[in-house]
Amino acid sequence: MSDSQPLFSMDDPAFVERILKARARRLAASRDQHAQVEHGETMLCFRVGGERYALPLDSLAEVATLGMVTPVPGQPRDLLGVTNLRGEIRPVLNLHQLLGLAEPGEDGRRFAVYLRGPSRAIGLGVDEMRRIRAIDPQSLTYPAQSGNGLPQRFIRGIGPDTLIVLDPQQILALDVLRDRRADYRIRQ
Amino acid sequence: MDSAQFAPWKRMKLRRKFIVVATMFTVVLAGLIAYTASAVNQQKDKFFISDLAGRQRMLAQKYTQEVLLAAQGQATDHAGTMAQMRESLVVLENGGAALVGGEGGLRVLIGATEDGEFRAKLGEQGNLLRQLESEAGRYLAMAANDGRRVEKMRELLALQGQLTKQADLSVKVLVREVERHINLTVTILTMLGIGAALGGMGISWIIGREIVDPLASCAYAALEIAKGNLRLEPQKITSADEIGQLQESFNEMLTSLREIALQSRSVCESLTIAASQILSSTQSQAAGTKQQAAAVQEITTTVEQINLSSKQVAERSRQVAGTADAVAQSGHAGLQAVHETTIGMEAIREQTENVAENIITLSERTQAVGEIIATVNEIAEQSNLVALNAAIEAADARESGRRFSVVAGEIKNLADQAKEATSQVRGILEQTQKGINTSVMLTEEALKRVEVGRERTNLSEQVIRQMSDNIQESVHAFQQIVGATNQQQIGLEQVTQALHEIRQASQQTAQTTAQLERSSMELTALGQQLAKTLEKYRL
Repeated sequence: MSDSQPLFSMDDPAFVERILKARARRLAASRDQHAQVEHGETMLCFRVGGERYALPLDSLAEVATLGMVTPVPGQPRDLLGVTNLRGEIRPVLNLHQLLGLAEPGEDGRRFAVYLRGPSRAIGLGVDEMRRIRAIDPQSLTYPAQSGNGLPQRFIRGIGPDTLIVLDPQQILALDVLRDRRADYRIRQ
Repeated sequence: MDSAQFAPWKRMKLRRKFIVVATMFTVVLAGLIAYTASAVNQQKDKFFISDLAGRQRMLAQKYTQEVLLAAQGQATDHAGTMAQMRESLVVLENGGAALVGGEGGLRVLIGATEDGEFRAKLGEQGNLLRQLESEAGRYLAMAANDGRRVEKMRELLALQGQLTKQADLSVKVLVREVERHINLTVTILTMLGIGAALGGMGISWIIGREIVDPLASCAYAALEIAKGNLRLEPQKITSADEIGQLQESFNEMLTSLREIALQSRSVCESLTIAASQILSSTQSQAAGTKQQAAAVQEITTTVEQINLSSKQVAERSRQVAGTADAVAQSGHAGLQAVHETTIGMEAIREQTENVAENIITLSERTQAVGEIIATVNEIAEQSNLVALNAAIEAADARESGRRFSVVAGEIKNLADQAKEATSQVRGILEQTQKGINTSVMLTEEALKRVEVGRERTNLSEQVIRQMSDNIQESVHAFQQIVGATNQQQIGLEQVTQALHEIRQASQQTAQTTAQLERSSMELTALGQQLAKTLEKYRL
């Protein structure tokens, strides 16, 4: 859902014409242009608590809307709970908690980004899906070098226009996932 | 005046006092006259006595002569003479009737003498008389040739001389006595006269003191009053007679004069003040008259202007009456129009209700569209997710999935566009919903306004009807105004005429006021003069 837009009127022919022209330009654009643009590492951009974050497409299993999440008793707040996706129970981590952001309200639709884990996909609750971008790793700045005071464990780097690229390995390395997890079930 | 506080003499009237005094004087005078008469009467007796006594001498001489004559032989009545002498002597001595003045004289009564000396003389005379008679008898008895006769005659003559002398002496005594008596009488009369004069002087002094002094006092007071001195002591009332009345009247006159002077002075002051007030008011009246004349002039001009404007008013009133008539007709038309407006309002209300229903329907449809749009949005998002998953799968396929990733990007773009379009449609729908809501409110407002308009129209109908009636009344009123204005013009002409007369009158008033001013100046001068005159009175 877009932000509150300025008032407009469909009766305004200039506005309608502007929209139609923008659409025509987009449709008229060749695929090579997209290919040219997308060099570097492709990443999925999403929004958590008003901040924009990104994850490399290579580390992702899939994205889906986040249905009902069942909290798991006795687990820290980093684990939002478990959800059922096409008959498969998957854990969903609370990115707000991990990144030290304010908890979102109950209303509104939420999405889940599933990381490709060693044995199964791990869900991350996000607020909004954005788009897929190609980001040059050279353009990233690293928090360890800049020292800007962010929780730096999960951050791989910060791209231009303050896009924060998360580190999926660090997320997968969380203790809450590691503890008594699928190894036990796989052995059975 | 209380007359009881005075003595009886003081109480008596002046006339009576004068009568009393005159009576007293008359009585005194009568006494004097009576006394003088009695004294003179006594002198008459003495005169007769002295005459009788003198006669004795003459009779003695006559007797001697008769005797001598008788001796010569002639017949004489010497005895009668002797008797006459004796009778006279007796009368002289003891009183009685005697013949006075010879034979033809009158007989008078003579009182007996009381004088001793005279009586002695008379006694001697009687003795001599008797001697003379006896001698005469002897002489006569002698013869004519007797020598002794001469002797005897000489004796007789001597005796007769003696007798005459004696008679003379008695007469002298009598005369002396008479003289003494007369002297006494004169003395008494003189004394009485002096006493009467003194008494008269005393009475005159008393009367003068009683009458003249008050009169002089009154005269002095009158003179002082004439000089203007009113600070006099009141006259002391000394009696109850006319003088007293005069004094009392004088006091009353003084009191009343004082009061009159006081009143005159105050009146004079009031008169002076009033005169000056009259003068000032006359001057202000003169000024006022001038202002009045000017005002009358202005009023005349104004009235003429009013006359002009009233003509205009009449003209305008006629016009307005015509206009009002037209307005009354317009009012009827207005009533008709209002009626039509009411009908139109009703139609508007019905249409507005229809519009409201339509709007509600439109709102419902818009909601349905919104739901559809939500569904489309959902589909777009799902498509987006599908595209993202496709991209992820393509990334997972590496090089073999490269073309697929392009398709996934396209799908993603389409999903994005669809999402953007649904977002725009949603915005438009929201706008539409807002517009519909506004329209609903506006429609309700319009319904209310229509209701209000209907009420207003009803009110307007009443007002216009009332206005029409009023205008009808106004037409009548304007017709009356036209009539009244005509009358007003006539009245204004009369007013103009009257104003001209007023102007003439005010000019006359100005002249009269000037005269009045002069007169009041004279009056002021007179008042001051009067004040000066009254200052003469010392109160």
